[in-house]
Amino acid sequence: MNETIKTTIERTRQYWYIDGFSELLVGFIFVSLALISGLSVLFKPSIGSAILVGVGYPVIILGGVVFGNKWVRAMKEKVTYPRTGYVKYIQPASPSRRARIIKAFVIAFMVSIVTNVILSKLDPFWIVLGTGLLIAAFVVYMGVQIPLNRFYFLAGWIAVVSYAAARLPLADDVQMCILLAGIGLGWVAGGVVSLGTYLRNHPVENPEIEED
Amino acid sequence: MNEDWRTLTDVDKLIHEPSRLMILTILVSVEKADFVYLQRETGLTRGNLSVHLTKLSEAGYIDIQKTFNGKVPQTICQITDTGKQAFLRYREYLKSVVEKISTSG
Repeated sequence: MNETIKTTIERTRQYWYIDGFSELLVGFIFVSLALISGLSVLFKPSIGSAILVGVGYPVIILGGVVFGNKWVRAMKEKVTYPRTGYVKYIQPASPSRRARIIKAFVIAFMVSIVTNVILSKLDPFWIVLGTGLLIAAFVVYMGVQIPLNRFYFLAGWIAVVSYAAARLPLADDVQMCILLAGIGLGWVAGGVVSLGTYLRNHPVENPEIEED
Repeated sequence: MNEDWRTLTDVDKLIHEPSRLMILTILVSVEKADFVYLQRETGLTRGNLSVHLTKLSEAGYIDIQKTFNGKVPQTICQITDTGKQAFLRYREYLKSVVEKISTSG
């Protein structure tokens, strides 16, 4: 019986990922970061390149956190809840909205600094491979926590893309751009497959209408 | 009957019923869930689910809100503090049953 309780709690946690919208959002963020990286390569070595990355990364990550979450919720309201039901998850006691935005901005800024200053002192091969493997490890962690098997495939894909991008005979910033695009496309592909499967398996119906 | 074994029969029968246990398990892990979600997850018929929800609501274990999402009726359920405590007590009870069985065997 305890096992049933555990499984039921896990299934409820997995429900957030049933439609693939959150994966599409993450994919969109990574692809946007790749585009910013690509544009910065075009503008190199002008100051515009550094500004593009320094400002573009935080703006995309921050925008993804704030507006992306709103988009996911709106899509769930429109697509998911009428099909398979509404769930509101328990939110951890969180600080104010302003504090959250500041925190997200600081994290995004730190990521930007780490990417551009600290990592640039390492060998390009290890920067690209290390970044990709760190992200893959985080995806594995998510797969264990939720738990959700398709995240293991995604982590595998990210590891492969990381190695391939690191091995390419290109400039390191182009390799990073390819890595980010590859990761983003992996997330988007996962999201599209999940959404397609979900829509096929769950046509719109509302049992409550018949109930009343 | 041995006192140890008597406590084992002292179970909250309202939660002990598998369908209601499943409903409470879902509701304890979320803030709110609607009728459609609960029906999909439990696999119960509309009528059965309604009956179980009513029983849980009458016991004060869940709150039921009837609203409309546009023109579509929506029944939203939320576990109460009483319900959470009853659920936790039930889990402790399950653990004690397993322990007693394993020590007596």
